[in-house]
Amino acid sequence: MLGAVLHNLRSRALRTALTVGGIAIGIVALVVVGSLAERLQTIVGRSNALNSNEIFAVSTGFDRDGSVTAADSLNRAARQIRRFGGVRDVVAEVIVPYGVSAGGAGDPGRFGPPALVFGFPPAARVYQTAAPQVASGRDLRPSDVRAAVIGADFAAAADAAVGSTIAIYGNSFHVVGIIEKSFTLFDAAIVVPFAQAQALMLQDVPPTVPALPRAPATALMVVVDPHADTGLLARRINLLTGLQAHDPKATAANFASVTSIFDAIIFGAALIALVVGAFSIVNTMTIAVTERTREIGIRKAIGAGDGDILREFVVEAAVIGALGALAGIVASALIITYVNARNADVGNLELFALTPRLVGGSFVFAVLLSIVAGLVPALSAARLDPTEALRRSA
Amino acid sequence: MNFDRLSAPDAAPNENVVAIRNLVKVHAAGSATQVRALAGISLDIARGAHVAVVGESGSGKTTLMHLLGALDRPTSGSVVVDGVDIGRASRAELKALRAARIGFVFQGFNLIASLDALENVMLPARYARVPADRARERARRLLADVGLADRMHHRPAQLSGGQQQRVAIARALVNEPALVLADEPTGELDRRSSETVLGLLEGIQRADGHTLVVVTHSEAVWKRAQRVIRIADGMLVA
Ligand SMILES: Nc1ncnc2c1ncn2[C@@H]1O[C@H](COP(=O)(O)OP(=O)(O)OP(=O)(O)O)[C@@H](O)[C@H]1O
Ligand SMILES: [Mg+2]
Repeated sequence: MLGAVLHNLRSRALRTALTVGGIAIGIVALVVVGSLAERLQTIVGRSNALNSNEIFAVSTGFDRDGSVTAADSLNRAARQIRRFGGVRDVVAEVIVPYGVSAGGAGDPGRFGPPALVFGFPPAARVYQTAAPQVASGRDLRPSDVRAAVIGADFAAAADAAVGSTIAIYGNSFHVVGIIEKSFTLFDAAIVVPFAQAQALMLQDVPPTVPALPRAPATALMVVVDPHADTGLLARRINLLTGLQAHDPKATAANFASVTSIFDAIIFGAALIALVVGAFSIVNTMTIAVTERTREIGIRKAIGAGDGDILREFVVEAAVIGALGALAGIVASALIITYVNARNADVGNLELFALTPRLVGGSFVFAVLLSIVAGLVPALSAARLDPTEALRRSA
Repeated sequence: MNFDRLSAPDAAPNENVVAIRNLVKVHAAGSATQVRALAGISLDIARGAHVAVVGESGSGKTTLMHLLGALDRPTSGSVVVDGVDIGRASRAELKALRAARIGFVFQGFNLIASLDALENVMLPARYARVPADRARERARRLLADVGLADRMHHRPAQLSGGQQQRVAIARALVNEPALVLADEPTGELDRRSSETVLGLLEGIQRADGHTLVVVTHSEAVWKRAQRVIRIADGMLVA
């Protein structure tokens, strides 16, 4: 059966190649755009998980200079927020932006999120269930001093591995672990012990400042009850001086609108694939039916039913679709691998994710499409009058 | 299911395998090209007979063969083949009759180009839903019988005209049909190949008791038949 189908396809090799190529082009469009959307979905999905309404980060909008008064007001705000309805806990954190340094890590030519130095107190760890895991080496321990766990992208950019020493604002840290690539802020993170992060934050405080804050921090992690109104809480927090809060639900909604635009683009690509592929299949199969009219007459004379003839041509169309899908998937994989490899040099973005479900989905899509398109000529073949078909000379 | 009928003993060995009454076939009825190809034919063919059908071009021979082969329905009158009334049977019954009870050999371009000799011979068995193992075994034996044991896996394009017709004969016999129809089976063959092909057809008719109806222009052919049916302008000539 399959041997006969392949023989038929080979006997009109050029036409088959053109049709297979048409489908392959459609599949390339579908897979390339689709893998972009898949990547975006991973990023959005993981970021949403990180900022779910359980955990609710509040940035305080002050930097490493002049931070003392801000730190004091932050601690005051923390006490106030703790009394808000729906709030379970408030944990102070240190987040310090990390720019170019003598350590040579930050490359201004790189594209992507900026590196951030994080310091989490032990209390914060309890709530970080969705945070990316350490992929190699180990996580920080309470007893660690001058140790760091770094994100995958930062590790690549700084050429650091477990055991390396990195310099942050003139302080050296020993790398004990690398965090898995997660397409979140953690990819560019440098996580250091809380006390060291606090020290980094204060090390540039001008000597004119009379007193250092007792518990310096730059952000608050507000843990809310599962059904708390995060929008209302964010607005209330924003009323406090020196604080800026984002509603994680609003952020998720923004992400969702971006993903829906991408879904529309995939749908468009699929539609192009559909039109290009379907037309060329209908075309080539119609010619095949015309060429094999007498054959159809003979088949019917020796006992073929309409269903037998129908199956014959539908299988042939499906094989064309499968070949086109395979060619398209291989071509897309090459394109995606190449583009990802090129982007690795400028930011390790891995813009495209060729996921198994995308590969499987486009294959099934191409085959189903070919079957539907093949049905049109196949039905006309099945309905041929055998006596008229037999009166044809070829 | 139809194949089960094959192994069952025939109801009455002496019945007529074909019974035609007042058969009229009008082609393209109602159009400008309307042709009364068969104009009232009555005819019985006994089981196991060897019949030649002769007549001038356009006299209606192929039209008659298509009706006997359950490919077409009468305009009026009746055609009964192996107990099935062609005019009244359902499409499924006609298909089953063609698959299991009738063997066809045509003039030229008889085989399916994409299938090899063995697959071609097995095809009617596949359409009759005969298990593949059994069909393959029968097909092998038949191909050996027609002298093509060493051509099982050749495609039609790799066979001579005479070899192709021998494959077609093997194919016509694979389901042990009650009726073998051959419409000018030697029309495109030279004399020697024609002799081989006709010899084979007659041999299977004599040995296995298949009813054989051959359309031919050749006197050499029809002279060997037990009975000759002459058609002129869609009517039987005495
Ligand atoms: N589909 C059709 N529409 C109209 N006329 C037809 C059709 N098929 C056959 N005819 C006509 O019916 C008549 C009988 O045709 P048929 O093919 O049965 O002749 P034949 O005896 O087999 O001739 P030949 O020896 O040339 O094969 C012819 O005049 C032919 O033109
Ligand atoms: Mg004819």
